[in-house]
Amino acid sequence: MEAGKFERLKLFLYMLPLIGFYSVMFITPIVLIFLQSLGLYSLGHMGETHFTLEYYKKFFELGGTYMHALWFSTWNSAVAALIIAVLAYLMALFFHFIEFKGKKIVTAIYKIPLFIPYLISAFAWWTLLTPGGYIQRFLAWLGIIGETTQLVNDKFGIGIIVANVWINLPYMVVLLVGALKMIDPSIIEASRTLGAGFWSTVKNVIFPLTIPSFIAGSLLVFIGMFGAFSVPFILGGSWPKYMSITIYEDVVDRGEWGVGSVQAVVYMIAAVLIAYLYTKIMRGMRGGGERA
Amino acid sequence: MKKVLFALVFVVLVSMVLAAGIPSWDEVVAKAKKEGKVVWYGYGAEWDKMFYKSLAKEFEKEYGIKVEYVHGSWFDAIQKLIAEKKAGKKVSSFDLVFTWSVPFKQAWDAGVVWKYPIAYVVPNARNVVDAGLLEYTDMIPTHGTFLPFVWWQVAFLYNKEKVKDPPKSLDDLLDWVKKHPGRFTYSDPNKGGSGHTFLITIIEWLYGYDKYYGAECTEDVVKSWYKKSPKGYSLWEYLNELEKYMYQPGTYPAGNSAAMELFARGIVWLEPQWLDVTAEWVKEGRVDPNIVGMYIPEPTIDAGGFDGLFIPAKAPHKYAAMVLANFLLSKKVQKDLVVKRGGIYPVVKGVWEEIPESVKNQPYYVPLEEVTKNLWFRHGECMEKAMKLWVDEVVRK
Amino acid sequence: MKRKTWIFLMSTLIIFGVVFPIIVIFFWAFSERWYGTSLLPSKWGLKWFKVLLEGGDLGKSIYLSFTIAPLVVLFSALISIPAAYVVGTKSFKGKRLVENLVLIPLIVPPIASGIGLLSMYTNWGMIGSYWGVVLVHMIGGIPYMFRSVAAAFESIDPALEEASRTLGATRLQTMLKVYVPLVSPGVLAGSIFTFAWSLNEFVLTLLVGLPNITTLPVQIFHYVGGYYIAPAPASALSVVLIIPSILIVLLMERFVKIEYTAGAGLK
Repeated sequence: MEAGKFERLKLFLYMLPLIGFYSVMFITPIVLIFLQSLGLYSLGHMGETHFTLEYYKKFFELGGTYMHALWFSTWNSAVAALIIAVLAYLMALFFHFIEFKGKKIVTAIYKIPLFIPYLISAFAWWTLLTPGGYIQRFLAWLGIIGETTQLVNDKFGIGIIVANVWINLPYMVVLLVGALKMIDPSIIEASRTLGAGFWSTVKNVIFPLTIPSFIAGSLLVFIGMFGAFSVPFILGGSWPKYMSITIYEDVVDRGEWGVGSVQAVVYMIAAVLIAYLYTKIMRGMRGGGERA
Repeated sequence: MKKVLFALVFVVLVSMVLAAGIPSWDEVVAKAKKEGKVVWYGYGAEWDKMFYKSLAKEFEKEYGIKVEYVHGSWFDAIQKLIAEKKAGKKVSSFDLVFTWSVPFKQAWDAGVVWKYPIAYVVPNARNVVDAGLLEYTDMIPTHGTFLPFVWWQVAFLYNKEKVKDPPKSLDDLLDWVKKHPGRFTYSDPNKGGSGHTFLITIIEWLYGYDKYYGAECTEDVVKSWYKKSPKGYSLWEYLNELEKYMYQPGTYPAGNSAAMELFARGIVWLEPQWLDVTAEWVKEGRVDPNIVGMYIPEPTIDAGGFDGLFIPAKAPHKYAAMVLANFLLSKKVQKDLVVKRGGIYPVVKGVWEEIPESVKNQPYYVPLEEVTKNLWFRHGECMEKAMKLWVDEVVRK
Repeated sequence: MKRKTWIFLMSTLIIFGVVFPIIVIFFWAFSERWYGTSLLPSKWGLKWFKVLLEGGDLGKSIYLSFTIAPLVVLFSALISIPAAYVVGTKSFKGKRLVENLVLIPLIVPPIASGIGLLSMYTNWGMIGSYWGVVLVHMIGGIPYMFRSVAAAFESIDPALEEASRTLGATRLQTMLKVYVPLVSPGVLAGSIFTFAWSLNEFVLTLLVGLPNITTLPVQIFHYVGGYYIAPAPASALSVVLIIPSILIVLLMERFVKIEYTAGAGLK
């Protein structure tokens, strides 16, 4: 059914509130940030505006604050995403293939972190991992770490990784359980009747079928952590810092809107890139545009 | 040059006021009552907010002038005033803004401060502990437009149970830290005031306080931090040497509370810390009061910040704002700050003497005489520059 | 037997991993004296809840959080439903693009778009305005609503509408009798997610809501924001937010079909 001109106008009118809202509340600020990053607009309502690449130069200065922040937020979030991927896969297999009494309760409980504000989760982990906190004490008692070892506000962002895993794991599990449900049970049945054990079925049959969800989910989890503010704010150290923190400090503490905007632009490019990859993978999975 | 200019501006201002005639205080109060309302903007921890709100209520009772207390961050207050100026608004949202030196300077530079020497109109301002506080805050010129209200103080906090011999002077600090590896720390200066007060104290101690008192923080001053001081170290050498023996070299507690937490858990035995943060922890039952010992090492630790009040240029209730400021500088309120809020020194004279011994003897108070023996002020401009450089020169190394 | 032990271990581990950090928050919230050197509080009580109530923070924050969230749900629904109807039931060029673009506001870090919004709000004089905060919450709320509702519309057999029309039902009747019952589960799912999103939104509220609009997360931030970490009052506030969060999870488990949950947690 190809829509006629009038029909198209009607469709457009239906979508107008949505388009209007995002034009004002989302696209406008992004455009302004982009202009500010080039010196063509002043977000801070001060000073003259003229074209300059000064802020970009500042950002891309090798060994400078911002390259470090970008690198740190990238690798730190990637490590967390990797841990999440592995743990979530195991959990998803568990929930999908095993029936047991009380499963309903467990499946409800594991989703709780999804709905707890980041700030609270970060803070909870801060109290556990700070020297003298329960987990820090326990690890020190086991002799894994020293009595005074810092697991929060440290150079490696250990606290950030732990809290991020806790927060994002359930999302990945939900996603993977969904992907496992889409696998035709008869395929698994076939593999089993052909004499394959459970783990070899997972390896040879199930895993290849869930790769797209696996990657797509990991991408979303990654970008969420990469740009999050609360977790690195509470658990991050003096150095290095997440880029979300350096943006906040530049803008809020020092009024340096220019370089703050460049960082925001970098975040947006990363986000659009990931959104693109995500939709591409999802479309491939749906098999030529057919929605699951 | 800049200073001369400031002095000139000030003289002009004062003469303008004199020409217009300083209103008598009774007149101010009468006009304030006519205005009937004042919007007071404050910032700080949540327990500060509760305390300021209670002060607002008392003021309402005493003067019949309604106080609307708004609690936010200092950034926000200045941002809003500047935005209102840009938008060409005739009146601003606040009448009296509580802030500290660095944001005050931003507000002054943006032209949103009322250029009227309230410090010479408000009667209680005559009692401030040091006349310099009416002209400067953290050595940033205020031209009498800024009134000190709260005297925060940093001191050395040590674990009385574990430490019998805390370093008596800053000269002994490094030796002590070397002898007790892993037991000293200070807050990340960018995340906690106890850290940046310590930083500026070290600068003034290394290079000589007289070099900083009333001086500008020029390029040369900043460069001098890379050169050997009379004490034998450059600033950055000293801090890096200190770091080697500190708690978890390379990591700094993310703020006053994080540093306090390490102390309360018995992990760190010595650190610079705010008296009021310590007071709050003792009161909240988060640190065993038996381990809390506080003192000022030789020669001293910088006094302040003396956070204070200014009236925005477009404040709609300026007289009421002055009356409220006067109230906040009264002996009664200053005494309450010491007794009820705790860990604060009065900014006006004749109050400390009236404080009961039971309060002065709390573990989180240091006798005022120890602080005033060598009264050093923080250099706000240098402090800000040093904080930023500290990241590159200390943590990253 | 072996299998049973294994299941038991795995379940315990999951439950413990989730519940333990939350329990510690409860410890803090109900502690009146807890020295850093001891394992457990030495005095328990409701002191912090009383302090928060008397200070007026708790009441105000609860009021703000729980009135803003329903408004965000309402307006997000009003904006999303017409668009979701079109995307879910009609086929047209650029349909996929619309679907994908709606994802982007969820993926762009709030701090990035936030500095632009901060500047715009300053220009408009909307810093610290209640409705301003409702609007910024909708940026992240609409995608949840839109996705859930669009999925619901899509699952409706187009033949149903036709059948209803050929049977002589008016447009309105078709709407009420066919669409409403079939789409409402999607709207419900979307509402739950949008509500949870609004309740938890923090960065944008912090940037544009100060100083007046201190929702619960912003209030918590005041207690843990670096300069001052006060675990006890922060935990007491957290308890107030954790309880509805857990209720939301239970609601979701009970009423929301699994196909809608895929839209969850994109935050």
